[in-house]
Amino acid sequence: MRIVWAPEKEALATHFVLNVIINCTTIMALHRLHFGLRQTVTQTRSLHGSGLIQQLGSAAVEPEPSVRPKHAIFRTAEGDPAQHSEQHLGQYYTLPPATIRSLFPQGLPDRFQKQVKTFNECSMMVREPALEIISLLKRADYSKPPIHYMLYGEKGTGKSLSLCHALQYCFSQGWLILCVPDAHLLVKNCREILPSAFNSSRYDQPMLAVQWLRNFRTTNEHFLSQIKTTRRYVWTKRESTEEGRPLKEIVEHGLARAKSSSDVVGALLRELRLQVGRPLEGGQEPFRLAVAVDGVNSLWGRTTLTKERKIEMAPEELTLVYNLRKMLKQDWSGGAIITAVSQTGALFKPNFAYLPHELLGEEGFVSLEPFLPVPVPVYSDKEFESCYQYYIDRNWLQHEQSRTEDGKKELIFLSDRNPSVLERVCASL
Amino acid sequence: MAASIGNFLKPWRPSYSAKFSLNLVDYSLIQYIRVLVTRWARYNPYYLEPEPRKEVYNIPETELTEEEKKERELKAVRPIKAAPPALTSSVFNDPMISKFINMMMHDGRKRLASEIMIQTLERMKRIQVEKYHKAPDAEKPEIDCNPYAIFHKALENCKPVVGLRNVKKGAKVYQVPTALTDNRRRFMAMKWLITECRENKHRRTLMYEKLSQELLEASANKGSVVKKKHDLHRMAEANRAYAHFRW
Amino acid sequence: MLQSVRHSDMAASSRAVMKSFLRRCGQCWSLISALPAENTVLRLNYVIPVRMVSVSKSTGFRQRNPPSGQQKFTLEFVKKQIEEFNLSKRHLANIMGEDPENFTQEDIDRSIVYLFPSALFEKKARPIMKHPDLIFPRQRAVQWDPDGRPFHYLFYTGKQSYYSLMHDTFAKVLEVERYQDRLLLKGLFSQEVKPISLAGGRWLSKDEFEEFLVETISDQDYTYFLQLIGRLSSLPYSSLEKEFILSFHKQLDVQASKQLGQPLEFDQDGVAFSSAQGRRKTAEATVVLRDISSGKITINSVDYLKYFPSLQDRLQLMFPLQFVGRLGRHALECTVTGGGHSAQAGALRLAIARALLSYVSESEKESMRQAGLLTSDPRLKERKKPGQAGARRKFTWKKR
Repeated sequence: MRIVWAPEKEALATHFVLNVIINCTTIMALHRLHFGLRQTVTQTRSLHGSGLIQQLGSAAVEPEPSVRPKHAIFRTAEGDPAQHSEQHLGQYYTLPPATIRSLFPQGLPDRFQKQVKTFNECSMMVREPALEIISLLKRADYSKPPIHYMLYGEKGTGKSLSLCHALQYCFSQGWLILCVPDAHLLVKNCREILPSAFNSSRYDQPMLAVQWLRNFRTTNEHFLSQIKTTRRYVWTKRESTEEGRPLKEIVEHGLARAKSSSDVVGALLRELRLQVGRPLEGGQEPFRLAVAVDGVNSLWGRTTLTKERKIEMAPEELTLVYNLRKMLKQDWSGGAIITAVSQTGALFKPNFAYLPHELLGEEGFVSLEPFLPVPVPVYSDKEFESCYQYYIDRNWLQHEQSRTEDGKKELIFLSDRNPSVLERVCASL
Repeated sequence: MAASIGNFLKPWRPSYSAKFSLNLVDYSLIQYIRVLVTRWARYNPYYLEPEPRKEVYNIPETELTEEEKKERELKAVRPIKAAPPALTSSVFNDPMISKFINMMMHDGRKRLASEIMIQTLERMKRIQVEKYHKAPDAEKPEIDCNPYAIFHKALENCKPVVGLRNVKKGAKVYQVPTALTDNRRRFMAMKWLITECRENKHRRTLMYEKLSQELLEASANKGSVVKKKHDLHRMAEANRAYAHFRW
Repeated sequence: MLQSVRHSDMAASSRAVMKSFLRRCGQCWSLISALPAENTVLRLNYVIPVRMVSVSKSTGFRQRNPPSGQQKFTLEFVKKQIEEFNLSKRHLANIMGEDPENFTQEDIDRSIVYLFPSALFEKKARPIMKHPDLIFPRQRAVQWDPDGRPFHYLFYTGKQSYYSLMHDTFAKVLEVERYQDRLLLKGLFSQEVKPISLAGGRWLSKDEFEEFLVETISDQDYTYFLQLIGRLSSLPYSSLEKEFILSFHKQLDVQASKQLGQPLEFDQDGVAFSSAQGRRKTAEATVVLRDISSGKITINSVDYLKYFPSLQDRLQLMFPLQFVGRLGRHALECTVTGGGHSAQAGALRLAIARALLSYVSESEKESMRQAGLLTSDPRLKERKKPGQAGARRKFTWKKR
């Protein structure tokens, strides 16, 4: 895919336009975007066809250390997301345990996490939305403001996992990962809310902030000692961090003092925003920042948290949400924003809503514009076949009838090729 | 002369109710084997039960026994009841599992009961598959991962062979060991499993967790339900002397 | 003349209609009655036996004052009722604007339901208009002579027709067995001879049997009769008594012939489609089954996966298609209203099965019927009864 940029202005308030031909079913979803005339993206990727099957046959499938059948066409040995391409579409690749521990310290989506534990391996399918994002990431210009990729689709089609796949690419390229695995948890079911010391009109969530800082530290250990603060931060009357100290100190402080952890998060985000794209100390390459938020629609809308006297709290009154929103504004450069909107866990949104403007609302949609919507469809025939073979291989489909043609047809009907529904149906078979 | 059985197809109420059944071999009489018809049963006893399995209809004429041929002839002229919602021709349909779900159900909450069953099967499978993937190659063939096989095996292991019946002889009530029908055995096994899982568990354990644990133990001939069966057998053995009280 | 006065039994709302109708057809008695009611006053002249077991000409005391019990209807009375019924049938046909000559019983029933709509739960309490022979039961004449001696030797059994029939049947059994023994002695007993084929039929039901005997019997008696006649018909040489046996046997229609599917229709693009309806409890469904292999199913314009999140409901949708092996070969457009999720799924299942009748062969139709796909489920929520907490649940029993 070639991107031809011709922005009108180079100022921060540029309205650059994306006329993306993804596939005909997403044109409906794009009607709310501003359409300009400047940029065209020509898609040179071929559609699914018999050519792919021949490519698959010729793809190198090397036996892994654990026993794998030689003719497993649903698997690929290519573990590096940077090398994934169309020939790997529909195939499962395995993530090494070390990557999972560092990249996803908070864990992957629940059902998938269970599957990882049961199958004793973490294998994800290479699918079109993730590949699209990765190829765009490869070709983007990082001196410009970051492109915001938004994954959307019906319930259970694989948005979160595509996000994880794209994030793994960023991680493998040595980017700094800023990941909020489920933004819905910020706006609901929070027991501890304290008024912020920094700004009296806002509220802190100390436990969530501490947890997030811990995960952040695990993921980006090596960056924390390299990046330095640009100013002095005063947390309380007695505690402060001087200018020029490594970010590690701030993070340690936040982990030690839960009360100021939300402010620490704010400071951290600010530092990253200022320093991304700039060369580091010691003449090192500037780092790139990947901001990943799953369930970004919860940052706009309503919360179920209440202030004193049981008045409902607006999301922007939460420190974490406020700072995160600033991060999602495209006023910095040298990275990318990858988000996913989801209805599962969303508050006060209708059950069947899945389009970005339905879930984000007016305010959210306008704030996040312009973004690149990436639709996530249900399994195609090939992907379904691949998933089916994978489950058989991993001994997951145990019912003797599920391995027959009739059983397979029933599975297709009962799940309508929806990945999560298929997983649930196969769970009891 | 062709009888119009229009009358039989209308909503019907019985004008009689008999309380005995006869063992009749002749098929022309079997149609009138009396069942305890409940008041305002919506189906005339004339209606036959449906048979949704596909393979039954593909058997050619030559392979049928006499009885089956007669049954086919009977089915051709009799109306058939509508299949209930839990019954389909799906290849995954298991009558034993359906029975178990019905027994677990409270207040007609079928959805909840099936959900529990699905979660039980899933959990059993997860435990076994995890064990399978972590085991060395030599032990892999011995690990059974099929939750349905485990369920059936567990049920078989829980079924008692003899049961005890209260027989009053003189002034005293004796526990007499008697043979049990297949249905009774299956019922007792399922009932024991369900009551065991409902009562003897920690407050925090969920039903499906306890049930999957019990089924896995029972399929290996261990666990409290199998113990209960052994206790019953022991009692029957102890009361062997009274076996001749059986009528 | 027989006068009948029906007092306040009927609902007030229908009284006005009734009155006007009465005026028109001149007090048709047969219309008014549901079943002969207790408070209907009948003045009887004399009792003539309905069934001529024996004609009794005596005018004794017992006949003038019959013992109270079952109501007795004279032959003349019933004949008059029949005349009035025929007359009122013609009147009814005129009222409804239909042809009096070809007014059948179904038309009568339909008209009565239209003219006198009743919301009463008990079907027998609703207004009916049937031929008097169906309303007034056949009755027995007096079975003893003026001296009080009964005519039949089995009179004192209480059920003389039944026991005499049993004796006759058993005599026939013995007769056939004796015949078989004689053949065996002569060596002419053929092994190929088969008993009468009773397939595709049924014995008389208990009600029909009682009607035949004109006396009431118990269930046990009925079962013994069935056993005996079954024994007779299972003998190899039962063809000797063929007419006797078949007089108690009724032939049935083959059920399969009743399943008719609509012929396939074609829309503008030449795609075949068929439509059908189905009902279950309070849900009503309409389905259009198109012969496109996209396999898309929409219910009320919503994808079926979203409309039925429960697996059981989707299995119900899958049942008819999977049974005939046409999964993924059709596109369905369904609309369904009323009921709950399970009732809607059941209604859709029936509608899909009926729509599939246009596509499948005769043997497959029969298989579908035997699988229970084509029967409309008659089960409804049972009503709550007074004096009970629910349909079956009684109030808590308190000892004191």
